[in-house]
Amino acid sequence: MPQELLIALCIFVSLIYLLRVAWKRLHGGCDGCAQNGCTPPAQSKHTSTSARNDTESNNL
Amino acid sequence: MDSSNTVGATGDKASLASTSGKNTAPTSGDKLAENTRICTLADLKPGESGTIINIEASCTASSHRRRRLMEMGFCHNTTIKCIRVAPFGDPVEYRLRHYNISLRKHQARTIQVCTPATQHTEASKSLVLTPPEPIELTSEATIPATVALLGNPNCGKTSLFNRLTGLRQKVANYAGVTVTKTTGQCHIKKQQCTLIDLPGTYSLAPTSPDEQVTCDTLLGRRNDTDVPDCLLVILDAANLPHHLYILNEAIELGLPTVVALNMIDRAEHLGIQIDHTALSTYIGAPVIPVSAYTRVGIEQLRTALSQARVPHHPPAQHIPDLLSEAIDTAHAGISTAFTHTSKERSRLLTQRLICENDSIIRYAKNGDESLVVMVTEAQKKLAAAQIDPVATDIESRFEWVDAIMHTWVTTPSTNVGTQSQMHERLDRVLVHPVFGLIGFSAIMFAVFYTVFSVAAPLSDMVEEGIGTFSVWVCSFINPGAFYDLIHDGVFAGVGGVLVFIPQIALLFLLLSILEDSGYLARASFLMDRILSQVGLHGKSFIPLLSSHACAIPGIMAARSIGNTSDRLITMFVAPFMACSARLPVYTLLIAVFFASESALTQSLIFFGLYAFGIVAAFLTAYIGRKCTMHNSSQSFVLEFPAYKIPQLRAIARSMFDNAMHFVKKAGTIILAFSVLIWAALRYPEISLEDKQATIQEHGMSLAQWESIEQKAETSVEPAALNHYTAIQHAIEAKQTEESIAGIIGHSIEPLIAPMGFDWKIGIGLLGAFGAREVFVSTIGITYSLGSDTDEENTDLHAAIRADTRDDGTPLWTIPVVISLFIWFAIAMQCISTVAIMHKETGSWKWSLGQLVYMNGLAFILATIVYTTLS
Ligand SMILES: Nc1nc2c(ncn2[C@@H]2O[C@H](COP(=O)(O)OP(=O)(O)O)[C@@H](O)[C@H]2O)c(=O)[nH]1
Ligand SMILES: [Mg+2]
Repeated sequence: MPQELLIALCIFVSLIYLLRVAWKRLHGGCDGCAQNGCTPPAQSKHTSTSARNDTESNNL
Repeated sequence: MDSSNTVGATGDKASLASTSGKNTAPTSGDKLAENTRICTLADLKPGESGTIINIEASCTASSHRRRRLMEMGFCHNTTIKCIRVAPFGDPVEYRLRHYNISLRKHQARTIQVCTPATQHTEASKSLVLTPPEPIELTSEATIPATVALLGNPNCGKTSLFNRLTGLRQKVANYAGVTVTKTTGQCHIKKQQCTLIDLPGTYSLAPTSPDEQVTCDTLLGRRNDTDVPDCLLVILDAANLPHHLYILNEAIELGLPTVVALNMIDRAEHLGIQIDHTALSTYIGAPVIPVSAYTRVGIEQLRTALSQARVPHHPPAQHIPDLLSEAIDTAHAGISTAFTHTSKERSRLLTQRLICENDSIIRYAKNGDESLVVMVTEAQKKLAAAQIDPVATDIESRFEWVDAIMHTWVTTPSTNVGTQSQMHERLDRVLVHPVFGLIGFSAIMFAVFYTVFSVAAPLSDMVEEGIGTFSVWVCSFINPGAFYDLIHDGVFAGVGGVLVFIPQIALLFLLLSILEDSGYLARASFLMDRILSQVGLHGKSFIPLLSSHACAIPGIMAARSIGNTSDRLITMFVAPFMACSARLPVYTLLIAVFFASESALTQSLIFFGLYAFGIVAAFLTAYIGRKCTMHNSSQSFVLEFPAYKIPQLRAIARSMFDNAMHFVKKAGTIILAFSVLIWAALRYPEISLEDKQATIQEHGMSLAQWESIEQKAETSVEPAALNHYTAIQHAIEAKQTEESIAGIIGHSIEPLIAPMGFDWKIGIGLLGAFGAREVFVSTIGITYSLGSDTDEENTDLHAAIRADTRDDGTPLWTIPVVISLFIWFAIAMQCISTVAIMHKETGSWKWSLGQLVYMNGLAFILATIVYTTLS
């Protein structure tokens, strides 16, 4: 039954793919969608405003 | 005439602000001409001009806001003109230093002016710029490893970045497009170099998180990036009086620098002439006129990056000795505190510390006693001499700017060129207190009307194309389970979503036209009062508008809002905006259930759904503001960009990129979901006994069933065939009921029943948590299972409408549809949004709070509406 096998393969790949996407989203909020103002992670990095609490930080 | 200091003489506030001491404009202590009056900026009527005397250091305007106003040119002796007042009397548009800016009345009241404007003699004459010995720029070539782009917002940094790296970062015509640091590779003389695109800032004293990113990067305060090797300062050549200020600050960073005079095409068009070679000699670093539009100078700029030089320090003689001494002394004492920055940068930081009290407090908290002592001492000394360090510093920088303008830049005397006249005329209509608002509503309606109605025929064509393609592909597969997967799972699921490409493309096309035209800043100005009434802010407008494409860039765009509570509220309500993922759901439901309505009614329903999201956002913001955060910002400082005819290429590219992204999403996430949902609906397969039992239950013998199954359909008499089809549907129903999806759906049914949804809708809702479009795929898969190959989509619509609940009553009643609309408009179903909220706010409190609130609200509203209507 090669058709059943093909289906099993499709399901497996889909599952793995979706898990990967979910993982990425939870960990960076971005899976490289490049939508409207976002930047593809391959070439660039999203940065947070985390430097705010540095000792030399000023006025914010 | 030199600046003999007048400070001690009058000793009032006005002279405190004008410590650079030129008596060219009257201060409040001077004798005034008869018709001159002194008032606040807020008292100027549209059309009136005045000369700024002083910006009060009032306690309400916090020190960094006052500082920012000065850095944007609100300095002693500057001529300012009131242009117009926004609807409902606030904010107000002003013109100074060749650009337009909006301020709230509250801020304008802290600025003293004398009107009419005094024709003061050229302030710049006191500072004479003498170029030092010319330097040989071509002598050596060292390719910097990292180059950071610095400049005012909207000067074309990202456009140049894209030109140099070949990337496609978002470019648009308003301040605050880039809110994060982006890196890209650029080739200089066959060597690689990393370019860092940064958010725009008017000075190195940040007032919002996006500017903080820039300043932290340049001052070496980020853990993830070192101080760049080279600085590319980008100035708008068409508006140098406003843009040169940042160059003056940049020089003090002491980094090798290259200056790009961008938009040289516009400058030429306006007849502005810049002696860039002389300027280059004076500064001691390459100055290259470029245009990211016409590509003029891009290659020269590339070469110049290898010839970057540490610029000559701007002449310091115009800063009162006392101030520079105070800075130097304090700097010498505390430079050890700045371990990882260079001498120049730490001097800049020392100066900043002296100017601002807030940061001192932070240092005190960190227990750095000596630093606090040194800085307070310097502050005391300056206070005793009645020197306002902030005003003195900024005014001296503008003096330098004016001197440069005076020496090397010629602006045509009739600076009311045809272009600016045309812009003014456009503004008179588009920013008019009454017509402006009408125009705004009309534009917004037109956008969504177009997205809905114009795209419909195109969608039909796409649908036909997909149909043909599906038949072609399926002809290669033998009937069987895999065939069903491709036909009922992949094509019904993915194809059902792909149909919406034209709508998505149109939405992005229209949004990018709006973004590039320069209208959005004006719309923020128009909406500021209304938005602040509901607890938001004029600067919330652009983040909220961007959220109509996707909430994630919308939430990121909120970084340009300085006030923390304004920013939080904006981010909190941004996901209420109907994002492009909801568009297919809305369109499908309207097409199926309001098919008999006219196109206009359908569009109105569509527009109403968008409006519903906006109203929900406003109510949330209003309640949120009332309950929790009272300290909304009193300031609204927004520069008005020049109107621009959007570049055809750029908007076409944006449209194409976004359409491709949509296709990619359909081909990946939605495809994967479709496969899984199909499988979940199909497996485990119903047992043979169950099947036979069902057949017998319906009063057909197994032999009869088999004989019909074997024969070609035509040879069976119609009545028997109908009976057969009915039983077949019953078997399919049983199959889906008992499948994995059926079991899951039934288990969540009690939860969604109050909203009127059955388990099938429930499966769609679950899938929608992965991507909202999956709801559309699920519907497609559910209703195409077991259908014939040649079935038309209209039959799919009919099948949806005809579906019943287990008790035989119709499933899809109007209350159910409306309840579903409400759920989709309000519920938060996007994991990425939760994650980005967490990242931007730095706490789970906000992101999870938003998740619970939005879904809770959606549940309650949908339940109420469903129960009332049915
Ligand atoms: N006329 C003209 N417009 C430009 C040029 N470079 C950029 N722009 C426009 O200026 C606006 C701001 O560009 P952007 O790159 O987003 O600026 P940023 O905010 O500094 O990153 C956009 O509307 C661009 O299309 C140029 O060389 N000439
Ligand atoms: Mg930018």
